[in-house]
Amino acid sequence: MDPSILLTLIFIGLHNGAMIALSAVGVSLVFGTVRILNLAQGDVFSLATVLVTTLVSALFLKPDMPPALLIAGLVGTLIASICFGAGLNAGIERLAFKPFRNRSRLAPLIATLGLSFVLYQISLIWRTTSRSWVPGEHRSVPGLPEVPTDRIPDLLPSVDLFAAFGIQTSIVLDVKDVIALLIAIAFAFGVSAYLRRSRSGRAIRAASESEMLAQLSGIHFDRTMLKTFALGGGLAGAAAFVFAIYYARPFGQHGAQSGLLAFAAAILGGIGSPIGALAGGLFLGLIAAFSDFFLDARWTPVVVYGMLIVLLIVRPGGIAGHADDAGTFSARDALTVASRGLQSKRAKQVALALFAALLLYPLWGPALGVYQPAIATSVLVFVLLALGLNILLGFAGLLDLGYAVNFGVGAYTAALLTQPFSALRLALGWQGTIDFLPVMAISAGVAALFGVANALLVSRMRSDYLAIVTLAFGLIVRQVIVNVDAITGGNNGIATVPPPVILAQSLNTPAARYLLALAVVTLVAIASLRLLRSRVGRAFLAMGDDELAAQSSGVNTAHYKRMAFILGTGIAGIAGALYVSSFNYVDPDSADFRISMMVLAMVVLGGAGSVPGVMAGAVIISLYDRLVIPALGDLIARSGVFDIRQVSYLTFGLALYLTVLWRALRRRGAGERA
Amino acid sequence: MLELKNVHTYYGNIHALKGISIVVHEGEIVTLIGSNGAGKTTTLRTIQGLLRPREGSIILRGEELTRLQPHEIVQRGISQSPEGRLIFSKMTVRENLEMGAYQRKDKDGIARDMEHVFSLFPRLKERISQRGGTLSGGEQQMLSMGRALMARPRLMLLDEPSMGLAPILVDQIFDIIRTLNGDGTTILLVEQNARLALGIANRGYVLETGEIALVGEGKNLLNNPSVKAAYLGEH
Repeated sequence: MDPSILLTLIFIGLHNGAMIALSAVGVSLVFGTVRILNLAQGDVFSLATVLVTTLVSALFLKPDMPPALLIAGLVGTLIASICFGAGLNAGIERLAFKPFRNRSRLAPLIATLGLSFVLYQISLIWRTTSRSWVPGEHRSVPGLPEVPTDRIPDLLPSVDLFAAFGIQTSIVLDVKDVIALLIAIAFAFGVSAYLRRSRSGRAIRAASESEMLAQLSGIHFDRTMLKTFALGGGLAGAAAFVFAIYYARPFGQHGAQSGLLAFAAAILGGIGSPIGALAGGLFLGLIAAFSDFFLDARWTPVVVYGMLIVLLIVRPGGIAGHADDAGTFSARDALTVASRGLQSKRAKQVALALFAALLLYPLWGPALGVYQPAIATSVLVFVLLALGLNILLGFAGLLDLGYAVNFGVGAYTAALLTQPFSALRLALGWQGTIDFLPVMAISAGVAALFGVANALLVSRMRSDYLAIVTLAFGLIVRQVIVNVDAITGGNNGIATVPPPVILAQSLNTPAARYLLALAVVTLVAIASLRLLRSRVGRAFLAMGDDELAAQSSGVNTAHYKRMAFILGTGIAGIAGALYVSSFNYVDPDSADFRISMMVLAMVVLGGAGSVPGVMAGAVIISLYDRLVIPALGDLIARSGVFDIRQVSYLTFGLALYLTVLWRALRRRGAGERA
Repeated sequence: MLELKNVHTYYGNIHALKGISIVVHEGEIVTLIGSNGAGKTTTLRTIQGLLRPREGSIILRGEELTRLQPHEIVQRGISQSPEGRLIFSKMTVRENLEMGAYQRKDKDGIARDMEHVFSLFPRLKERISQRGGTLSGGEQQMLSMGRALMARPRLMLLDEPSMGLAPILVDQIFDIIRTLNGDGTTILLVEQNARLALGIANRGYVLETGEIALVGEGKNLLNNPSVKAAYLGEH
């Protein structure tokens, strides 16, 4: 290979890696101290990039202004970005970590997920106020840009160093690449020295080792936590500055997902080590550059997140580090409610009456003028998803943050099986019709295969790592669905999927499809309740309560985890098949993180573990999504202020956060630690 | 100096301390003895503010401690060497000792106290740049006590300093406790080794399932028949 290409790739990798590294130093610090991933830290970064571009515009910074003024402006912006990130992340500590301290480890994870969506939404709205804002086109959501259009002028000098020194070569090494790299190195070494030498830096290290011993040494633990988060957020602010100035635009993606890159770098370098995080970030940048060049940029996320998963399984303590020492904990802890199903006669009567009412909906709905069978069917699909995730999270204590993947996989499987011109059918040269029952079974089976893959990945893993792995797994699968466009139609998805056919009878009315969905939901709900009272269900509950205790009572937890994944993801596969044949199309958004988050919100709202609870949660949230938001959207859009349809992330994020808080605090009563 | 009045502490719904009253006078060595689960460690954690009592009061030189945070209680002159030789295992011996003096700002005093710790535990000086996790059990116990001493406490809480140590080391540790006390540090000592503890203590409290069963002078308790039967293995 041409050495100049190799060198160019290395330079590209290093400056991209520099930005990952800056964030990674902060992530490493915070994760090392609380041992819980702050999913909102990536959004602190993206919000800070918006602040930087806003400040650059507001201060009218331009490359042709006097250098002294330009430098002063840039330094001021950097400081503002650091302070902003620090304050924001400290706020996240107060909102999402402190209320749950010593109480729950899953609750902060979900709370930061909620806050991450809130921050993401704020950054989207904030960007629309930018002077250079040009609304772009987006496939699904009108008004959201596909390509960032709020650019700022290029402020860093773009000078090719080799050319400047008169060296004849095709390699380009730009001054701004060097600047980005130097800032990352300076911050990593600065933080490392701070942790080793300063009094408060040592307090952070002490607090990360043992909360009790830190307190015994006279450390104000709460304040030290706040400092740690502020430092991590400040580093995210510094990274945001470098990113926004380098690329002359804000970062537009959702941070809970993109922030995983920084986490991967932190894990790679050994948690708690700033220099390690620097090295990990640079290494990931190199991997990404090489993967972009030799594979395709579309496959780079798959490579990088794949590496994260492998790393978490093989060396959770980092390449140079040692095994992680954090102990096990109760996974279902503060979030879940105990439920043993519908035991009272009265509850059974209510359920039966409700079922009868729903069954007769196509009759009374039109009479009352509330007949919306398509919306009702989509609500039922979400109820099904909530029931499936409830088996994983509510029963077995497994937090799957990539749950929508199984939904998407089920939908694509059904589409490939039934759409007349699907890649599968063309390849087989097969044109017959297929009954919907085998379609559902195959979709469930394929989704369950992904579930088993997940279960194998995480079989020996702590529950909070499980959340990270499933999140990464979800991102990988979604990307693969987009990438293999010959089969899946890429971003366009598969359209014109025919309605379900049962016993040679095509269900081509919305009412018929509604009744099919209702039948499936009813069966799955009854099966869930039965499962709770079975031997398997008891094993799930025991495992969810305390994995170690379950093991010592003879529960083969690896086996039951696998079974929970098969059941939970199989249900998502069925939901996917129902969805695609009811609404005749599927695209990669069906496997999107946003769907996973919505289903999680439904389960947490209803009370993980409670079958009627999660069903109610699903109805509330999906009706809100389908009815309230569009209605409000029309109302507000007419008044011309802004489009509330864009605010759905904000409301879901907030709902998720508030329900976690409410559920966890309700448990507080029973005499807790001081 | 320190007085616990009718202290009740809970772990969740478990009633761990059921109305404990203890007095420690200036300059004393007081010991708490009792079997596993009697509430000895809980008592020390409650004094330190790590656990909050639901009822009762803890008074240090006229000041109520129950509303203070652990770090504020360290500021008031109480420091603790917790059970299980808990130290910062990823930090060096020097850093561990410096963490003990976290609340103090007097550099010269800290340096002098570190020398003092090294004179009590010369082994720690040999290991000064080693990480805490690489020390032997006895060295870790020394480090734990050294760390507690670096706060320059007026009252030192020692939780099971003899646990898991070789007899020769145990004697050494108890000699040092006596030395510390001779230098003016008041000591509240929790021990399973009742004979040794009562041997050096001015007074002793016997804890049984969260309640004080017996109080007395160390020597008298040593000769008490029920103490002999239950804690000294004599009949």
